[in-house]
Amino acid sequence: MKRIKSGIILAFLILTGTIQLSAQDKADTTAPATTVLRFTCTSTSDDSLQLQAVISVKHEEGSTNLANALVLFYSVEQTGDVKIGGAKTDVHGIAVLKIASRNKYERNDQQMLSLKAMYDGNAKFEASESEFGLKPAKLKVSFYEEDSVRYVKVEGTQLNADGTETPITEGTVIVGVPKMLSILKIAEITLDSTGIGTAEFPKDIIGDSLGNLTVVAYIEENDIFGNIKASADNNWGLHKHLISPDRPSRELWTPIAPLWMIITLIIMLLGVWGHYVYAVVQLVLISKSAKANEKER
Amino acid sequence: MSETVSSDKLLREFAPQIEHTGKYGKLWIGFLIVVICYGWFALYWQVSRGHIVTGMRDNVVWGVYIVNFIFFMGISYAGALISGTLHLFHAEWRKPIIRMAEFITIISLLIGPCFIMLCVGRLDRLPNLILFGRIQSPITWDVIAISTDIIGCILFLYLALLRDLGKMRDFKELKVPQWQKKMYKILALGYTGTPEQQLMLKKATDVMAGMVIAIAIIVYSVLAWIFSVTLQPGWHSTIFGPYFVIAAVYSGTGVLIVSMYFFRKVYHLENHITLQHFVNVGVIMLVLGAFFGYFTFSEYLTKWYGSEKNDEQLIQVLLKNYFNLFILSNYVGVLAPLIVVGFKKLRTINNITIAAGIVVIALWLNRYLIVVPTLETPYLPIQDDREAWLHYSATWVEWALTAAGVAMFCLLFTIGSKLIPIVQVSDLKEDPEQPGDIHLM
Repeated sequence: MKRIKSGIILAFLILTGTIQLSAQDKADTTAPATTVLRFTCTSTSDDSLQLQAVISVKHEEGSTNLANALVLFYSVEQTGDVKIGGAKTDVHGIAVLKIASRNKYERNDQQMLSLKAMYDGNAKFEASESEFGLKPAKLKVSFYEEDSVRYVKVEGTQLNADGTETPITEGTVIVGVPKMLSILKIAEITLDSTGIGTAEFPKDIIGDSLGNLTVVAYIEENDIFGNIKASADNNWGLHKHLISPDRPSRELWTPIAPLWMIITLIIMLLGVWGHYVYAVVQLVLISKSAKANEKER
Repeated sequence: MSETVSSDKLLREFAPQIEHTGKYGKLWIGFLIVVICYGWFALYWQVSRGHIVTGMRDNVVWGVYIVNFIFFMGISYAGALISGTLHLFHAEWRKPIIRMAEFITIISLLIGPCFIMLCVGRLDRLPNLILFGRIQSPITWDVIAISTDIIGCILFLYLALLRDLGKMRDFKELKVPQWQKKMYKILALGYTGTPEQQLMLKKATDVMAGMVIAIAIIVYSVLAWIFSVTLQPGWHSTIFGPYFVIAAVYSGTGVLIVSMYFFRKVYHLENHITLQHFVNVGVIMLVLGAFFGYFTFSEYLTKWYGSEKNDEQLIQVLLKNYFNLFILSNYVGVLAPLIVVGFKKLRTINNITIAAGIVVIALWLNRYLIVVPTLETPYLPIQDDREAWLHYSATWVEWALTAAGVAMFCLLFTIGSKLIPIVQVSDLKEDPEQPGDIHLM
């Protein structure tokens, strides 16, 4: 009887931990999941347009990116949609297609291209699409020095349908330096009537070990030009040192350990090994006494 | 001073376990060797193909190997703490079980570090740990501490074995191969139990008993600091040192009870290891279980109440993705010994052993829940959303090597018991009395 009782209690204990097992998986829904397609276009400094579509799938808990999905890009024209090309999304759900800024696709009265990205969907995921309009343009970043002051210069140009170029006369360009997580903004430049703007280059930006920096200039979500991006390199950054010479030399990240750590370790090791040696000495004495006893006998 | 002298009758009782290995014994050893061979094959597979054959990836860089490492190191410290403490407190009832605790210590100390080697992708760079070791690194602390601990524990075990080795050397009726007799003779160091030798041995044993306790606490704290000195959510905790020490002794007590159960059955030690021994070790397990439960509750309560973003995320992951394991590890693992040992009516050898088994499994899971969910919820977003990168799942290679580690533990334990009596013969009385009771309300 005792065994039965104790068995029941133990079984209860184990069950408490496993009772939730069956409740974990929810039944799969058969309806296709909703997808969201975000479409953006960026004019880059190499006279090309980067068409980028990001597809995500909506869940109750949030959304995840959809990989390996084919996205088709179209030019929306008066006679109908003209296919530009297609690209598959990567593991981040991003599909990218690059085309020339000066291209054959039809523009509207404001010389803007109307582009569309489409995902056809399948049994599991719904179809989705998104449109984006922009006039191709480009930015050029350069640097110069005047009276020992360093400047960054940005030049904005519109690319017209007839092949001519006109300056971007209005708009604000952000200038920054890419860091580990985001772009560190260093200046905000308003372009003048010639499409040119300048700003003083800061002296305290940390570059690599040789002071090399990549400087990016960009206009984002402009009503006419969409996104424009350009970059250039200089060596105006501060040289990065892993160990600053004016810091104390016994810190955790320096080659020499902190003194307190070395002292603590030595005390502990001496204490422990001292006792070990004592125990071994006793064993040696036991052995010697055994030999002495044997001789006596 | 008089030493408890075991008669030839007592040695005769334990001689068969050393002299013969029965049919089932051979089968058992054969089975363990097969499992170990399977582990060797898995090791070859891993070394020849790289760590891609494991479930470990750039984000979850530690898996069941490190869990096994912590687990084996934990039970080793438990053995040291239990044997050292019981020796210092002169607990008479410890005598039939103390050798098992010492064996657990040494064997798991030999196996545990092997698992950390399996985590290393480039084993050829291992000497760099010594050549270019930085004292500031907790990994270096661990290497120093573990090697010191292994030597200390081997020394302590040897001191504890010395009298038995002398008895085995002098026991003429023992039918063992010549090399084994020679081994007893060399290792006994000529010990004959003269008052002078007894005194020297007592001094050395007392010193080492104190040392193994101190070292065990330091080493397991160092192991905890490998985690807690990082700023990872779930690891960066000031109580991790004592929490790990308590968890280690708790799991080790569980392993000791399970070992007591099997050796009692296999070697028919019913006269020497009685229900009272199980209850006594069970009471230690109960107290440790209460402490472990307290630490666990304290650890999670403060994290949950603080609502720091990353801690909150981690608790969400634990309660959502690992709910069953969390309950089994932190509730069932604590409540099982409390109920079984706490109620007098439930205190049977079988029940206490089952509770100890639950504790062992729960504590392994506890270490898994400390390591894996934290690595699955890093501060920086994971730069790849493939399932294998987001969530860790152990592969057959890892399970095969884990099984091989457990098999090696059992095999070494079995071989150890074939060389030296599994109970301390020199301390036992011919007619064992009922051991002293640890009183519980």
